[in-house]
Amino acid sequence: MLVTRQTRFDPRTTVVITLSALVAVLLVNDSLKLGLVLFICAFMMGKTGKLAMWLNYCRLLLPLIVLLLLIGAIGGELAAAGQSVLKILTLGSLAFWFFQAVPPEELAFALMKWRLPFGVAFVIAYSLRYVELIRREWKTVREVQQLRGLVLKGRGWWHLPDLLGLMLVQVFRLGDELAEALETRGFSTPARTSPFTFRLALRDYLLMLVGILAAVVFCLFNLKF
Amino acid sequence: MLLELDRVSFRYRGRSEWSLRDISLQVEAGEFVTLVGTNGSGKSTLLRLLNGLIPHFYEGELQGSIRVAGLNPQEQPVHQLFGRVALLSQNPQAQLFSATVRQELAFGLESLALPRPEIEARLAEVAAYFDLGALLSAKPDELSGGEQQRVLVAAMAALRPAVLALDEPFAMLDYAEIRRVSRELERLNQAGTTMLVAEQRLGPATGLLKEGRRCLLLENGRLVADGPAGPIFGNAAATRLLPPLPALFERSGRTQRPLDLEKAVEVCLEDKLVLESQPDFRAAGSIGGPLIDLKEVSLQPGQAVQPALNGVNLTLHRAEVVALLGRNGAGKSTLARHLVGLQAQQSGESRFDGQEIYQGKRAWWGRKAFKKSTLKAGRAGMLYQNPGLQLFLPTVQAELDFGRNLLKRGKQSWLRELIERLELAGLLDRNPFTLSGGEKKRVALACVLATEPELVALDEPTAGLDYRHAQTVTGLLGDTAGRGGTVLLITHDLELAANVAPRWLILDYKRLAHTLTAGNLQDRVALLEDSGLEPPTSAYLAGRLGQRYSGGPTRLVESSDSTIKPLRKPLSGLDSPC
Repeated sequence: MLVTRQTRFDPRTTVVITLSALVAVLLVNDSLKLGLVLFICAFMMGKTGKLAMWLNYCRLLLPLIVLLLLIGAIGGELAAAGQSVLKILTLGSLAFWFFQAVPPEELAFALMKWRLPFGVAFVIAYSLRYVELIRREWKTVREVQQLRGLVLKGRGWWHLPDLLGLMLVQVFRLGDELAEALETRGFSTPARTSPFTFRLALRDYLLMLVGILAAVVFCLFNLKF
Repeated sequence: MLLELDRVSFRYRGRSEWSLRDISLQVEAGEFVTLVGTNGSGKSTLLRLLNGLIPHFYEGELQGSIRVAGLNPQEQPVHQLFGRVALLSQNPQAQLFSATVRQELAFGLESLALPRPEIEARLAEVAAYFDLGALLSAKPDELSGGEQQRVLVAAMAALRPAVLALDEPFAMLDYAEIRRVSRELERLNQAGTTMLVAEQRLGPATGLLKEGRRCLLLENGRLVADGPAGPIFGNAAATRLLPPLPALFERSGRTQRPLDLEKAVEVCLEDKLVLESQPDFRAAGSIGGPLIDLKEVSLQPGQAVQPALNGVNLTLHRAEVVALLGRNGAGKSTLARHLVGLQAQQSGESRFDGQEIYQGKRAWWGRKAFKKSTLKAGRAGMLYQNPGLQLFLPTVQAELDFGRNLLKRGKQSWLRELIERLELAGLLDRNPFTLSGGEKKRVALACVLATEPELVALDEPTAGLDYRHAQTVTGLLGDTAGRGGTVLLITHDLELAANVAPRWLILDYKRLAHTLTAGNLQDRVALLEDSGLEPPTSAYLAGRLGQRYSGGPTRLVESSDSTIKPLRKPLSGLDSPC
């Protein structure tokens, strides 16, 4: 088999479980419980060898966390700010886990079973690759300008809009080239063969049920006590 | 007839000038046709007509009639034509969108709505045919340029199209990759696929120009010649596009311009022609003191696990042009970035004018030490392959003044000379975003040279330029060295390197494998080929004529004595040099 399914469960199962967990975390306002969920997340990352990657990802949330704490400190609501920080870290960790568990292209094509149009599925499946391509171009732009004497520091920040304009042009160029490449390989065809064969099995339904029930119990426990 | 164009003209929406004018041609099934022409001559536009991208994807005014495999692309949507006419556009990176090579190959087949077993059978077939079995699970963006191009050709071949059209398939490949892709295109053609290949790189390894091969020569949107390559390139109209071997005969004032090395040797023997080198390299005595000094430097770019280069020892002098050569991925750009202060070394010592280029600093949180460039801005400059990433101001004039004003470097008289020699006077008020690729390259080069950096690294400075501008750039490199600058020329074009650089650094197997100085290049043909480089044509010819070739501009002159002692065997493994 040259084209096979990569994950053990149907991606839709993972979608349902993650959504349940996200809703539960959004409804919980207890720092202790949020901390517990975060600890479990960290433990699972460690067990699966993704701890370093996860910590690196959490670093991206650092500016937001600092901002929240700053606002909390100024407004005298540091405890509430701390709770929001925990919530953001937990939600972020769940999202991280989700995208680690399900390759985007499998997710997209699984969602087509739920009547998601191919165009939307394609964007979900393939846009991440272009983020990396654009990131690389941005790095090159900064390097080139650094050699011309323009560093994004101090007065150099005045040129940021110009550089972002340049990047916008590059993004459009990449988008055009991609669209042309897709068109030449039949992207607009009305009927196509799916690269994956997905079917929800009994274990998928059971896992979804367990996930939803766990989230409901977690919420009820939080609301009651 | 498989393809028929009758008086076809096209202009893109919003443009006043026609990109194609009055094109009429016919192509039979199984033909191999090479499209040649300068930038903007209409090659890409012509290919886009064949699978319906024009007018369905690129809108504009289209006149005349087109028939492709019995269908009219003006009436059929692209998704009904793509299985018959497969088109591979420029820039392979942007066309690879899947997570794995396997998915990339399968995408077109899925668009054809083939049953799964048929898709799998075709995937297995192309994977074996193009030797991609080991790469099926690889990420396309982690492949080399040549592998990416092979994957794309394979993806198209899997569709089993009647016509395979390729737009500059060799543009980003090194010599070894060109030869491999070229062989695969020949095989596909022999298997019955009609091939249309538009290309600017026409050197021997591409195999695109053979005496009897059909060529279409486009100029300003018009088809000015259609026929076998030999007569077309014997004509003055094709002078701007001449590949190195016929160009050598042309600048020697010869009427015969052979495309084939064997034929060239034959002509030389018949007419008693010998090569006369005119090395105008700066004499060794005029090279200044050392500017760059590297000792046992190892480089590891970005998040790579393996170092790109190990134990590099190197000295670059002031007022010197040095060519940095090697196959794709050999570490040329990494080394250049290191020298201009953008990429710190993992180990070893690097000095610029006696000062350490990078110094270790401890991050403010105290844990991780990193190295930062100590090089003052403006002392080193670099021209990137994609000049579009350099230009961002509203006018060309503003771009030219920007670095000079910021760095307070560069004489006004030198800038005026650059504007004149690179023919930028008419572009000064234009927005850089509206310039063509070649124009952007010239502006970007002028911006880099205008600040008169002590070290300038140029990544493929002549790529995308037509012959006349390429000659200007070649002259400018020598003049930059003449003004005391050190020029590091990164290129796959050894004809260019032979003309301007007396010293060649060859990177291979993650190290500085060879340093060649001008002299006896005819004996280095095999070494260059083994390093993934296409030797200069003059080196091939000199070797075959039993002559010495030291580099520099060369021409053929009539010999009064009969001292030509040709070698009987080909010098290298080049199967079919043109």
